[in-house]
Amino acid sequence: MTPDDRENLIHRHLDGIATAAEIETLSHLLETDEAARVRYLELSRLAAALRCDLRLRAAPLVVTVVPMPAPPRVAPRPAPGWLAAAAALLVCAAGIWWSLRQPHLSGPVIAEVTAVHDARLAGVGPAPVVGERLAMQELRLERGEITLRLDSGVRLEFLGPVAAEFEHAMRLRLDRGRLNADVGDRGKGFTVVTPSGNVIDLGTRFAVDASGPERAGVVVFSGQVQVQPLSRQGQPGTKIGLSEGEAVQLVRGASPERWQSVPLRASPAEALAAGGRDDVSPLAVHDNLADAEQRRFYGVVRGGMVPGARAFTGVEAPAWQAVPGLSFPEELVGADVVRTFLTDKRRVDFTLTLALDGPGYVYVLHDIRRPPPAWLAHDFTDTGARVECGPWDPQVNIVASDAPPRGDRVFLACSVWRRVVPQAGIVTLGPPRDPGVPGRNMMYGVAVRRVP
Amino acid sequence: MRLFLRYEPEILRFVLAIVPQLPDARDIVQETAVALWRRFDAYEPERPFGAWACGYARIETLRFLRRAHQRTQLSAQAALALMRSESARAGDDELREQHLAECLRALPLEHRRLVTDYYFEEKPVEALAGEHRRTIEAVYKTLQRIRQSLLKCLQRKMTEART
Repeated sequence: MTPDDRENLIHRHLDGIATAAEIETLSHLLETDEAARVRYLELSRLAAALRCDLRLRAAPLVVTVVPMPAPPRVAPRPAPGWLAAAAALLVCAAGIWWSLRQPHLSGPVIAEVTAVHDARLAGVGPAPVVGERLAMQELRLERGEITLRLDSGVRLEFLGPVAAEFEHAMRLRLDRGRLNADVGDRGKGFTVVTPSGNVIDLGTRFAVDASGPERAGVVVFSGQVQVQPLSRQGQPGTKIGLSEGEAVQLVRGASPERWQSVPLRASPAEALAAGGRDDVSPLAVHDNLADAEQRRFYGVVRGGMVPGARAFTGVEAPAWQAVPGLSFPEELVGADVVRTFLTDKRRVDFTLTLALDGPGYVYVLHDIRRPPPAWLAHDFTDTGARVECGPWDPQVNIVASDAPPRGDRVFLACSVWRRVVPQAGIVTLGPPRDPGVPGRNMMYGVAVRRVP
Repeated sequence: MRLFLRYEPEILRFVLAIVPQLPDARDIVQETAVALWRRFDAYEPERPFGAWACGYARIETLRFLRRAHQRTQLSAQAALALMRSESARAGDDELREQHLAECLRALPLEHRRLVTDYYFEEKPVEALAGEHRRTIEAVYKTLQRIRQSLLKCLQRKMTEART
């Protein structure tokens, strides 16, 4: 019998699934082989400890969400008669003893439910309701979304499915899933731990996507965070700072990679989108910026093109609007929006690559005050449709005398250019202006409508 | 009664080392309690109660194994050999439990969930296979790996504590 066979035999007996013949073999082995007895006792003592001694110690580590006040946990299979009562007393005494002995093991974190959408939490009966206060340590959100506000002021929006655990009120372990975090002043230092690295907040709004295998995306919407990648062995590496408009992918044992296409929700305030990775990342976006320190991201909003859709990453106010007196171009409505960077408006060597997963139409929304760059005029067709982008403050440097204010704000007209993409593939967009073109201009917008 | 309550976990642990199925072990502990209740007059307070009680647990365990020999339990001879080996081990239970608690906390969340469901909630493996969307055999294999991982962690911590 090999050591592996022996090991399997012992485990099968411990789990109560060994056959009569296997038990006979194991009995003979234990009668005659001291090494087998030692191994058997090691494993059986471990199983015995898990069965009884550690019950109360481990229970607080794995309790899911319970309404406040937390109901006492009841032993699942009571022993008969006086022994059961005695055991219950013993269990309670041991629990108190343990809690007094282990002050470093923090208790559940108190959180108030501030929003719920189709949420199903594992191990919990009815779904929590807004306003309910929960004592929680482990969170297993099977589907839907739930937003919690901790007593520290930290606001966490979980996008299911999520497997997470509060190690304490300022530290969350996110094993799987996505969250949007809005950390107030009192929550500065709040840390999200993932299998690929840690995210330490410096007072900001950020999001973490640990839904993919072996990597975690971190995106900063405002303020700053520090990210700390982990080595293959789990040792924390050097921290790097991330600022508003930047995103990286943490890959265990590797340097952080820039995360260029971030799936966002269709709302003016930036937030990671819910749903599966494939559902919310209709296209991959990459630019040609070679700067290794460059970590900015492009927000991709599936079906987000409607009047009022936010136009740029990192700038909240300007949105795509209908030109007064005209309706919003129908063919744009419901297209995916790529929120470009306004700061690229003057680059003449810029390219933006879109990888489409199927046939569709790519739209470029070009500042009508300037002639279309050669690549746009060559590869795209002017649809004749027009939209506006605004409002802009009249003082911003893209606005000039050729964009008169409407009231105290400026709106810039854009032409809508279309390119048909017959099948899945790559579409490369060029710079927003050709070299030598005078005057100020706005960075173009991008929309993609996929053909079902 | 107070003495029994104090030592009941130790007795249960002793029995579980030989009879790993919890319902069977509880039955044996209950039989032991009854035997202790009947024979308590014979107990001499200057003797360690735990050792005295485990003597009765040993008798009840062997009695159980002889009764249950045909339904997949270890032979009484194997149990006796284990008891001899067990009695020679170091009495470091408290330290072991402390380290084991730390090792448990270090497990990945999914593994801890499985430990909780299987050992603490006593859910049947068939139900766990459904909940975790895995085959029954895969759940048993995972439990096996978890125990091996915990034991490795525990042994490392015990070695570190001794050095």
